[in-house]
Amino acid sequence: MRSRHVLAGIIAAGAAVAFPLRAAETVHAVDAGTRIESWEVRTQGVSLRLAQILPDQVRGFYLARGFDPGSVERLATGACVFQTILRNESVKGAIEFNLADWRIVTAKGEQPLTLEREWQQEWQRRGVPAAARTAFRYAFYPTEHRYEPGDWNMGMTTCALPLGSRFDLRFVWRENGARREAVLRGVRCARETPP
Amino acid sequence: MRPTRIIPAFVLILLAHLARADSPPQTMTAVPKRPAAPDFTLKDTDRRLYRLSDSHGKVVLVNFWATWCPPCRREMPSMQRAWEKLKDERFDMYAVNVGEDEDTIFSFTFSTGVEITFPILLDRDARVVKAWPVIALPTSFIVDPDGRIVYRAVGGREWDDPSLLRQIRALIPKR
Repeated sequence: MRSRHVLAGIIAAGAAVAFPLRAAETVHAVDAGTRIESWEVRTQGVSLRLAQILPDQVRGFYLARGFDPGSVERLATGACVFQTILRNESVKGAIEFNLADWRIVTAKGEQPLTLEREWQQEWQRRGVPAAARTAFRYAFYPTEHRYEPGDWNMGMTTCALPLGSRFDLRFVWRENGARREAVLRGVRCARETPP
Repeated sequence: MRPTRIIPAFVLILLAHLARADSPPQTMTAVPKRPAAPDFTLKDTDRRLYRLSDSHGKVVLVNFWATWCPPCRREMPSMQRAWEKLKDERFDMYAVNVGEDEDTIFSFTFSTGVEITFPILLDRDARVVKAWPVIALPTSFIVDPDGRIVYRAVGGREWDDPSLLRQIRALIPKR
């Protein structure tokens, strides 16, 4: 009898560790050195992580790649910029995503992300050189992609909110044609300097 | 089944699951219909000219990268380790840098603390990367001895992982 209880206890404890509930909890972290904040959620075989990119980091990166100061400022302070990592951690199959389906959710309502093609139109209007626009294209998170198991990537995403704004991000993907979604909660745009 | 047998079996399954969660499996995806790899001719950082089609008869790892891309930087030492394991077989490796100059690349390779001995090719005007099915950096491809794209990997990998080396070696012609 006792051994059955022990067995049940081991199985319950092990299952809790190995197969966590599917409730997608957002894990918030603050880098001790830089005070940069990040948010991560792992659910249904997918993980998504957003980390703040400070306006000064945006300036440094794009000025070094041929952007003029006016265009850099438009991005650095006219948008929230995040380093974004999406992974297909599933062993089951491919996932497909389109950032156009993702939504920023605030108390005022919902809005889409600002996509790479929208920025490229603006850079073209502003006369940003082709080489700089190419750097932007590959530094930005791809709008659409298909990730096989084990595929992942890192790149910038942006949204049109004032610096310091707080929001939830509803992100969407497809697996075997079925729509899946999860929410990254309590994300905050970087401020000019970290708190 | 007796509990004395069930417990060790369950613990083994649990450990296997946890190991997988901590270090994600290193995978490449088979590319349907094995399309022809777009040929290119590019200079390396020493201004030597390399043409992909000159590697006909060998397996080739073609990696598209940039120094500002963190996963690209992270996978470079593992590419060097894989190169050291495979360079004496019928195998070539080309790391195609997208849009940067020699000075930027030298600063990066020096900072890795690893001597990179496989060719780093310069695609300054991004002409080559646009001809390949690359949506994001890094993306890597395995080209078979007939010049066809066999595998694709999106995002960084540990290229000296035994499972990846096994997949590559399976394509290398035996002497």
